[in-house]
Amino acid sequence: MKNVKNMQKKARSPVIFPDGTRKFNTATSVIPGFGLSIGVTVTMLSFIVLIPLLSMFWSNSDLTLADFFATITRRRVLMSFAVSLETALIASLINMVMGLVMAWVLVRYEFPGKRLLDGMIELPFALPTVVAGMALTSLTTDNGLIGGFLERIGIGAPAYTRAGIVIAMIFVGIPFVVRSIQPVLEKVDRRAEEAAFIMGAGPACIFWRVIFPEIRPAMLVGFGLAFARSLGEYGSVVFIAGNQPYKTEIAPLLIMSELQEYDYASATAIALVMLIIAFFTLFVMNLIQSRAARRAGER
Amino acid sequence: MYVELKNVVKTYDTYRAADNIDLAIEEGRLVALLGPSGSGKTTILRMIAGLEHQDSGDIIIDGRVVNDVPGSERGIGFVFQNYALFRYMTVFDNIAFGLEVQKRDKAFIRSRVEELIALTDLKGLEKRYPNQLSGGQRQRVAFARAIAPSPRLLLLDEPFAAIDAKVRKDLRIWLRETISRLGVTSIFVTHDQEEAIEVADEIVITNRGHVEQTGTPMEICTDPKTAFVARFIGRGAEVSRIGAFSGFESAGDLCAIVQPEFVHVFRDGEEGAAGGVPTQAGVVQQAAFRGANYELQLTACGETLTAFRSLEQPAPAAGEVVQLYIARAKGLRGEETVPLFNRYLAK
Amino acid sequence: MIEQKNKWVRRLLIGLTVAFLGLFLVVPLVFVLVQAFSRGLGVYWEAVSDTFAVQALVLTLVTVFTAVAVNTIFGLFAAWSLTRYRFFGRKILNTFIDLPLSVSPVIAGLIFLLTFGRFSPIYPLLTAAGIRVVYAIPGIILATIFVTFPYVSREIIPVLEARGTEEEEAAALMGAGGFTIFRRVTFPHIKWAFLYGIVLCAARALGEFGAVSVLSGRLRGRTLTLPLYIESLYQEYSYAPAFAVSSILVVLAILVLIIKTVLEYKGNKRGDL
Repeated sequence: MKNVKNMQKKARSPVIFPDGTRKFNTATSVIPGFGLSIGVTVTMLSFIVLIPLLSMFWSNSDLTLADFFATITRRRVLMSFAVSLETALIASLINMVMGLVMAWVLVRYEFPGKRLLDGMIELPFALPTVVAGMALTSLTTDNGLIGGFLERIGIGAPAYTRAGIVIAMIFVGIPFVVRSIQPVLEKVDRRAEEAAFIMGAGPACIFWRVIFPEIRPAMLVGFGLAFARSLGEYGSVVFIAGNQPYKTEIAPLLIMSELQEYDYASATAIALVMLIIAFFTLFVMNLIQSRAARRAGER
Repeated sequence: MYVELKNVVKTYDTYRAADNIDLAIEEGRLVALLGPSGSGKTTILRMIAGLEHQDSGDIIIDGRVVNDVPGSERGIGFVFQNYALFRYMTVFDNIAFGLEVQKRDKAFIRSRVEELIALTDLKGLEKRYPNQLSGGQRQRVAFARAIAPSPRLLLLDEPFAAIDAKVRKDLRIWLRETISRLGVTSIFVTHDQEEAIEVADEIVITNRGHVEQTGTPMEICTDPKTAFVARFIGRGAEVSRIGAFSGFESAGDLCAIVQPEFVHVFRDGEEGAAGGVPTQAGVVQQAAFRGANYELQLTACGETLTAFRSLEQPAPAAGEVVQLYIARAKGLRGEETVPLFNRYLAK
Repeated sequence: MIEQKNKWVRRLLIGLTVAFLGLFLVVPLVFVLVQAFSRGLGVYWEAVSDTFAVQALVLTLVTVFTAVAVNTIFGLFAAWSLTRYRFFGRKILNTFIDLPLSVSPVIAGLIFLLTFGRFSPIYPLLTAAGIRVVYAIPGIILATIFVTFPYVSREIIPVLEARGTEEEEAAALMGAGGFTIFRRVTFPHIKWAFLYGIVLCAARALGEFGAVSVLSGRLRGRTLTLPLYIESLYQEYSYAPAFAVSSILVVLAILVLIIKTVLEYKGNKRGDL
C-alpha cells in the first residue's frame, strides 16, 4: 500500500530542473488510476518474476566464479550445450522455411479446409508437451508407425537420436514463425506488387525484391522465438531424446538430472548460461523489431 | 479576459512546442488557433484542456489559475480531432456520459440529451453506434457530447479535418451559428486558413511554438504584422525587389509579398481601365481556370507574380504580353512588415 | 500466363503445408486417441477413472484456476498502466513482463526451488511457520503462475496500444473516475482479447510440465498434476493408460483451439473501423 502511495506522489510532483523549468513525469495524463495500476503491476512482477529470477544469484553465494567456470566447462555440460544449440538451430531453420511457406499459403490462397489448417497452427501451444512428446516418441521408435518405416528404408528410426530431438523441437516451434509472418504478410501493400508487375517483374522477382524485404524482420523474429522456445523445451524432448550423455542429452535435461542429485550449484551454473543465451536472443529480436518498426514508420 | 496564457513553455525532449506563449481570449469569442503543422497550436489547446501540462508559466481560466486543476475540473468541453467517440456506446449514451458521471438525475439527462440531439440534428440516430454514422454525423455527436455538461469553454482540435470537402463547408457554417447561439467561449485548432477566416471571430497565428499575431480575420488578411504571417496568409508571391515596380520606387531594394488580389492586369486595349495609374509590361506564363476566376502566373521586372482575373473578362493566353500595376504590397524588413502602397493610388 | 505458372506453385505450396501440418500435428493427435482405446473401452475407463487420475485432474484444475486468476488480475493492471500512460521505464517494464516466455520451464522450476527451498534464506522461516512450498502444491502453483505470467497481458496490450488513449482522455475530461473509464470505455474494446488471453493462459497452465516436475514431490495422489501423472504411467510402460489419460488433455486442447478461433473471429469482427 505504501508503495502505491509513493508512486502516486511521484507521478504528481514535478521534477524541477536546474534552469527552473519543471518537467512533469506522468501527470501529463488526465486518465486517473496511474498510481494504483502501476503499483499493482510492479509489485506482482517483482514478486512473481523478478525476485525469483534474482534468486539465482543470491542463493548461490557459495558458487564462486571459478566453480561456475569449472562447472560449465565440464565436457558433459559443454556437450549438452552443443546438442541443445545444434538441434534448436536445425529445428528453427526448418521451421523458418516451412513457416514462411505456411504463412504464405494461409494468407495468399483460398482453398477448402483453410480455416481448419489455420486453427490447427496453435495446437503445439494447446497440447500439453508431455502428450506430444509421448506421441512423437511412440511414432518414431523402430517399431513405431513412422520410425518403423524409416528403419525399413534404411534411414533409421529418429527416436533416441538427435533427429528425434529436432522433430520434437519442430513440433513446439511451428506456431512461432507462422504467427510472426502471417500478420505482416497480410499488411504487405498489394499495390506495390501490382506496380512491380506492371513494370514487367516476374513472380520470383516480385517475391524477392518486393515482398521478401517486408517480411524478413518478421521471419527473423519468428526464428528467434522458435529458437528460444526450442532451446528451453523440456516436456516434449525428454521422452524422445534418450538422454545419453554426450550424445542426446540437452541442457534442460542436464539441469534436471543435476537437481535430482541435489547439485543445485551446478544446475544454477548451467541455467545461467542458458538464460544468457535466451536473453541475448530476446535482445537481438527486440533490435530487429525496433529497426523494422522504424523503417516502416519512415514510409 | 476569460482564458489567459502567461509565459507558457512546453518542451518535448529538445523540441519546444510552446515557447513563452502569451495569449488572452475574451469571453464569448470564437477563436481559431491557426498555424502550420508542428507550430504548437494543438499543444496550446491540450494544455488549456489539461491534457498536457506546461513546464512553466500559468494558464488562467475565468480568473482562476488552473495549473494544478485537473482537466475534468476546468469546466471545459473538448472535441477531439478524430472525435474519440466511445465506440461501444450508442449516440445517446455518448452524449449522456458526461452527465452520468456527474451523477445528474435520469430525467434531467434524458431531457438534456434529447435537447442536444434536436440541436445537432441527430434525431432518429440515438440508438446507432459511431461506426454506423457518417463523418459529419460523428462530428455533431462529438460536439453534442462536449457541450452536454454545459461547459464554459469549448475546445475543438481540428474539428473539420476528417470530413469530406462538401460536408465540411456546411458544417462550418452550422458550427459557427450554433456556437454563437450558445454563446460559449470556443477555441478551435486548424491548419486551414480559409476555415479560420470563415469560422472565427478572432485568429491566433502560431509558428514554432510562439504567437505571431492575434486579430480579426480582416486584420490578419489585410495587415499581417510579421513576415511569417505575410507569407503564410493568402497566396502571395514573394518579390525580391519591390522598388522595381512602378509606384513603389521609394521602397528600393525591399523584399515584399504581393497578394494576387492587388495585382491588376490589363490586356491590350484595356489600359483605359487603369484609370490613369501608370502600368508596366508583364508576360503571362500560365493562365489556369480556378472555378471562380482565372489565376495568372506573370513575369514582370524579372519577378514572378500571381494575379486573379474575373471570368467575365476574356482570359489572356500564355505568352501574351499584358500591362499591370500593383496596388499594395507588404514589405519585409527582418521579421517585421511594412505596408506599401502604390503612390499613384495613394492620392 | 502468369496465372498458369502460379497454379502449380500454388498446388505445391498447399500440398507442402498440408503434408507438414498433417505429419507433425494431426498424426500425433490421432495417434494418441487411437492408442488410448487400443486396449478397449474397459481399460480406457479404468485408466481415466482411477483415483490417482482423478486426484491429478483436481490438482491440475486448482492450479489452472489459480494461475488464470492471478494472471488475469495482473494482465488487466499491466495492460492498463503500460498503454494508458507514458512514463519513464515503460519499455523496460514491458520487456520484464515477457521474461518468463524466454525462460526454460526447467529453469522456472529451479528459481522457485532456490527461492523457497532448503538453501534459501527464508527456508527456516517457512519451516517454522509450517509452510511447505517446494515439493508441494504451493510450489506447483507458483511455477505455473510464473510460466503463464504474461499470457493475459500480452493479448490485451497490442489491442490497447493500437487504439490510442483519446477515448479515455475524453471520458476523463468529463470527470469520469478510473474504474468507470475502464468498465465503460476500455473494457468493451478488449473483451475478446481478454477472453482469448485467459484461454491461452489456461491451456498453457494445463499442460505445464517442466517447471512443475522440478517442484513436484511426485507423490501420487498428492503432488502429481495430470501431465506428471501421465509421465509416471509412461515411465512404468503402462502405455495404454498413459494415452487414455492423455486423451482428456487432447480433447481439452481441441476445445481450446475451437474457442480460440471463435474468439479471434469475434474480436476481428468488432475490431474494424
